[in-house]
Amino acid sequence: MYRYNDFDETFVRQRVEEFRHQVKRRVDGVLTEDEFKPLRLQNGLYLQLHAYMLRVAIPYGTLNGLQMRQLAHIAETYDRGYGHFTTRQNIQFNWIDLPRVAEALSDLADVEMHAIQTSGNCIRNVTADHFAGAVAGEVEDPRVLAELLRQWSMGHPEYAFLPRKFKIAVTGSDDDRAVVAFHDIGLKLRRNEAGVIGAKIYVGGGLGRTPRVGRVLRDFLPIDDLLPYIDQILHVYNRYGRRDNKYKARIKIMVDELGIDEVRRRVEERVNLTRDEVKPLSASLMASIRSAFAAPDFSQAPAPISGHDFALPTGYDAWLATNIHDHRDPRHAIVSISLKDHGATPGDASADQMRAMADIAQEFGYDELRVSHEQNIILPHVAKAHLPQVYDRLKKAGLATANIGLISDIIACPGMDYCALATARSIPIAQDIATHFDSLKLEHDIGPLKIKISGCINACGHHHVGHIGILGLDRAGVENYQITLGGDGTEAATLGERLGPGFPAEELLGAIDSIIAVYLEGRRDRTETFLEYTRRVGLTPFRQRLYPALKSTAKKEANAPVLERAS
Amino acid sequence: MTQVITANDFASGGVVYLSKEGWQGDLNQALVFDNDQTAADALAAHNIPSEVVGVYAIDVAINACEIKPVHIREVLRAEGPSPRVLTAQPNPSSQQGDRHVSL
Repeated sequence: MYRYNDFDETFVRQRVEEFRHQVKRRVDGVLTEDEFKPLRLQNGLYLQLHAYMLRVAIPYGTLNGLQMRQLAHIAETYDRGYGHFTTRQNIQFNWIDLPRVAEALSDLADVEMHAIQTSGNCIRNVTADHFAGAVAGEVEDPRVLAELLRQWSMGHPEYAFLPRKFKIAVTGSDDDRAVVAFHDIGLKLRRNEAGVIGAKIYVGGGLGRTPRVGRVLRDFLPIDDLLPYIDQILHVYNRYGRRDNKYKARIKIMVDELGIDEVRRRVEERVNLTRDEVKPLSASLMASIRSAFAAPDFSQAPAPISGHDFALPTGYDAWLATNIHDHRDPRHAIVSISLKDHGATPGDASADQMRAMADIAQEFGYDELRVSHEQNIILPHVAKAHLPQVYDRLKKAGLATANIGLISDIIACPGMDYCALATARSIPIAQDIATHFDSLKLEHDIGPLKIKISGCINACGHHHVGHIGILGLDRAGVENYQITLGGDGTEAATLGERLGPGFPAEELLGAIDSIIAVYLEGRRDRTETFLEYTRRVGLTPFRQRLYPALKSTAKKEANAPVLERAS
Repeated sequence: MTQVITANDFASGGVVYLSKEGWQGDLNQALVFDNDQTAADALAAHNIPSEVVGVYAIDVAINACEIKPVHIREVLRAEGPSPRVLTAQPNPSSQQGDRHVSL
C-alpha cells in the first residue's frame, strides 16, 4: 500500500499543529464559533446532536493492521470505545471532546492518517472498489488512479472552496462495487483497442435530494491524459457551478442546466487552452504509485485443504456461502467481515473488534484491510487453507455473521440518533429489520437483497440505490418512512421507484414483511433474485399488497394515486 | 407554548439547558418559559459564544414535574441515542427547516 513520503508527512503534521492552535484560540475565546466552524470542518470535525464527531479519512478504504489498531486506540482513548465505518469508506468517532481533538489527530498522523478534506466544499476522500487488487479481471488496480487523485486534490488551493462538496470514485472492474455512476465524477478503468489503459468518465451523478445517474463525459481517455482533463472538469464546475442556492450547487445541477454536450465543450476548450501549461504525467511518479500497490507474493500460500480430517467450526459453511468472494489467485479468497450482526448498529466496530481484525489481517491477510462503502471490512487476500482459522478467530470476536449481501446486511446512515441534519432515525429501523428476518430464519432463503436506509433526504444511506430503499422523513414532527424499490448501485445504475405514501415507524416492519412475502410468493424459483423479480413484474404487485385499495384501479394505470394504506 | 432553552457545550459538544445556575445538562433543572417572548429575551441574553454553541428554544411538556421535549429530535438530544427504542411519538408542529443540507 502507499506510504507517506516526506511531503505527505510534513503536510499532515503541519495541519495537526495548525489545528491545535486554532482549537486553542477557540478555547481561549479568541475565535467565535462562526469563525471556528469552517476551520474545524476542514479538519473533519462536526458538531452533531450530542457531541463533536471526528470523521477520519481512509483513502480508497485501504488500511493496514497498524492503522486499524490505532483506530482502536483512538476509540478507547478519545471516544467511547467504538467507531462507525461509513459509506464513504471512512470512520467516524461520535464522542470526541474539542480540547483533545489535536491529540487524536497527532496519534492518527503517527500512522499516516488524518481527517483533512472529510468535510467542507472540497474534493473529499476518493473511494474505490473494496476488492481492488484482489478480484479477477481488473484492468488495473483502481487505487493507483485513486492515489494519484488523492495527491493532486489534497490541499489543492483552487478547489478548497468549491460551490459544494465533490466526490470521486474509481473502479477497475466491470462489476461496479464503487457506485461510480452516482458520484460527481465516476471513473471506470478500461482498455482501448490498442491496449492502452484509460477510463470512462461519468460526471454529474449523485444521490441526495436530486438523484442523478452520471452522464458519460468521455467514453475513453488514456490514463496519461486523465489528470489534466479532471482538473478542467473541476475548473469548469468551480467557475459555472451555482453558488446562489446550496440545493442546486452540486455539479449534477450544472450538468442538468448546461447539458452534457456543453459541459464537454467547455471542459475540452479549457483542456486545449491549458495544454501547453500542463506537465506530462511523470512516468516515475506513476511507477512509484504502481509499485506501492503491487500485489503481495501469493506463491508462498499453502495449498487449499481438501479431505481434511478435523471438524469444521459450527456455522462455517453458511459463512463460506455468503462472506467469501473469488480471488484472482486460485489459492486465495476475499473475505468480507460483516459489521452487521443482527441487532447491532450497522458499521459499528468496538476497539476490541478493530484489534481482532488487525491481528487477523497481519497473521493471515498480508497485513491489508479494506473498508467497503457497504460498511463492512474486507480481508482482500486470505489463503483458502487459512479460512477455517480466520472464521474461528472472527467468531471469537463476534465478527462472523454470515449475511453479506443478504437482507440484514443493511447500509444505514447514523440518522437522528447522532446526526444533526437527520429527520428520522435509521439505526433502530435497520436493527429491527435484521433481527426480525434473523428470527424467522428466512434471510438465506430470500437470498441477495440490499436494503439501504437514509435518515434524511441527503441520502448518506444510499437509499435511492437500495433494492429496497428506505428514506426517513419528518411529517409534522413524526418520523415517517418512504419506501423505494428496484434501485441498483452497480453497473446497471438504476434509481429506485417510490412505492407510495410513507409509513410510520411502527408500521414499517410490516410493510417490509409484505414486500418480502410478495417476492417469495411470486418469484419463478430461488434463482430469481429480489431485484430480478422487481424488474420483471414492476411495482404493481407490491403496491396492491401494501395499498389494497389500488387493486380496483390497478388495471387502469399502474401508477394510479394511492387511495388507502394497508393497516 | 412552554419552552426551555438549549444549546451544545462548546468544549464537549454535549447537550445543555439554561438553568438558574447557568448552562447544565439536566433538562429537569432547566428554566421554563411560558410564552415565546420571554424565551426569546432569555435566548438573546444567554447566547454567549464562549460557553455554548447553537442556542435555541424548544417546546416542552410538563407532566408530574418532569420536563419532556415535544419533538423526537429533542427527546433524543435529552436522553441520548436510542438504538433499541421505537416508540409512538406525539404530533407537534415540525421543527425542521431548510437547514437540512449536509456539510
